[in-house]
Amino acid sequence: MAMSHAKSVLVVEDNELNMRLFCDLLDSFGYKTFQCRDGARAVEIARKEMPDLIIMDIQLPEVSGLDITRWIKDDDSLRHIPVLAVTAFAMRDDEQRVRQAGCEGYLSKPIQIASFMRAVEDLMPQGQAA
Amino acid sequence: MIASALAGLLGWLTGAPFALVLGVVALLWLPVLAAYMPPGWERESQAFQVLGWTVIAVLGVALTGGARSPLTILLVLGPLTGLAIGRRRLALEAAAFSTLGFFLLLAINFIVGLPQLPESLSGLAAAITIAAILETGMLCASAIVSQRRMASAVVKNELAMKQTEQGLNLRSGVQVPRDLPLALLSVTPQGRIRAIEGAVGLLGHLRVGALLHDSLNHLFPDLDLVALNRGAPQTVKTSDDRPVILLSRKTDNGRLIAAWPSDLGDITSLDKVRAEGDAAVRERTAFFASLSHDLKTPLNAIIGFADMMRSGIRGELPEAYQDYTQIIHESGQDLLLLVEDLLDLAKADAKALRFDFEPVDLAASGASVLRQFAAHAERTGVKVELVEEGEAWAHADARAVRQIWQNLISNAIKYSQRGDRVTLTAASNGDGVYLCVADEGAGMDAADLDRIAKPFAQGRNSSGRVGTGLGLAVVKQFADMHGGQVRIDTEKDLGTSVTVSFRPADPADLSEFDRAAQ
Repeated sequence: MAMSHAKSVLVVEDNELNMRLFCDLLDSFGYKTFQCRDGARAVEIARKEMPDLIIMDIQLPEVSGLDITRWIKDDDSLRHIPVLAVTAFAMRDDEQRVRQAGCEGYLSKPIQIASFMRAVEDLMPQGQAA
Repeated sequence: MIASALAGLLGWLTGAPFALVLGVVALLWLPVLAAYMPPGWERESQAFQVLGWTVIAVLGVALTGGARSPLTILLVLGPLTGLAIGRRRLALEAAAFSTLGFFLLLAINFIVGLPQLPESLSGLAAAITIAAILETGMLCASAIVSQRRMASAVVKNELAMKQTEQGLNLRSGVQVPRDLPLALLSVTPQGRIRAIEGAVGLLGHLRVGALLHDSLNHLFPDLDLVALNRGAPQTVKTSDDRPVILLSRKTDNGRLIAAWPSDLGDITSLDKVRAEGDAAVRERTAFFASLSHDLKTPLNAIIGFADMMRSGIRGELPEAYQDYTQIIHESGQDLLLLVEDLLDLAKADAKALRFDFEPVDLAASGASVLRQFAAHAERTGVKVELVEEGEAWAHADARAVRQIWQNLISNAIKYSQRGDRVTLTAASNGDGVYLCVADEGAGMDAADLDRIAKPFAQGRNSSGRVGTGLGLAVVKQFADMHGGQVRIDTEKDLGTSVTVSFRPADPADLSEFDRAAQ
């Protein structure tokens, strides 16, 4: 299914099980994954690994995923990387807040495999080999 | 006054000594003069008039031969004066005193005898009697008029108070909120305070009967009375330094002055109260958000991993386990629906449940939820199908519609047996749109039906399977909040059909929606 094995995804997620779920899922679809459990280090890891996509949990213990997204979108070298927000809040105005922060995609937990993979593939930059 | 002067003159002409006539007339003038006491002494003045007449009457009767004296007529003057000025209690007291005096004189007369009236004074006595009869007639007429006026004043006051129950819309256009500590002053056309209602002590000491302007001037030297009378709201500081707004309005019956604390009455503080309410709602909303997060995070792992296993992404599972992973996945979905139902009911209870209304196609929503239940239906051997009748656009919240479908389909499958059929319909009928889920399952009797719409009440179907009743409670709650209705048709062993009606989408919204979609 995956077009290129070279495509990589950075997963920012503090919950161990969800981290594993996302990474195993992406891995089985042929994506390379980088894990970040500490939101404060997300920008640093993104600069180092330059992933093709970032999956961002919004409810992180230390810093909001929305703030990390704003830092990424303020960074000239990272701005082009699409961010897919995943949140368990699913409150009424969440999607709007998430989009305003600069996230290109939005999914609410619990995720369904089909819609999750569709969102990942939709956001993945095409024709760009890492 | 003139009557008693004439009576004195007549008495003098008929042979009474001048000094005596003068004394009697002066005595008779006393209660009359009492009516002209300075403002602020109204009550004392009235009491003086009534009691004056009573004392004069008793004295007069005693001095002129007792109960047989023609001056007995004077005894009715006190009570009548009381009635004429509208003070019933005072009139009663005067009547009691007069009657007591009369019987006392009667008794004295009977036992010891009182001196007979000298012949020379009988002319004066007769004249006074005539004057008293005239006065009595006048007082009677005046008492009747006074009673009528009081009755109408009471009615008008009630009208004024009624207006305040709904919030008093005063002439300046300022709407006084109903639940404020409002004081109302009813003022006579002559400018005297007729009544004080509501927060009586708000403005400080005000006395009924006093002149309004004098009283206000005394309490608030800086108050612009002219502006107040023109209807402009005026702010004054009370003795405890509290700013109070005064507003005056002309009525059929004088004036009505409303007073309320400005820190409660102005628009900014009403906004503050509202903001505090909003903050409380935000706090509850935040609580439910984090509760939702904590419940859904483990569910995400359960449903996600089960989904991965049943779809065999990482390789096929042994046959036996494939069914298990399907069950884990379904149970996770059931649990998710339960969590959402519980949270939504709790949110609705805390008034923190918000909907975003937009055009929602009930048919498309039903088809989407049906796909979610496909594997579940297949495993349980229940055939679930959607009857296509075209689009059915409702004015609704998309997530709520989805959850209504989920609950109804989940229930229908739960109470069906292998081989039964569940039919979903979404259509419009005349002025509304509706969705319907019909099953051929266990059905319900009257007692079940009674229980099901109550949240947390358990229903039990014929085969002993237990339902929480939570799903239907949510369906009903959502329908209510959509201005829709839930209709349940059911018969034991024949099945249940639940229909939820919605308001149709606004055609204007719909075209807007179409444009956005394109």
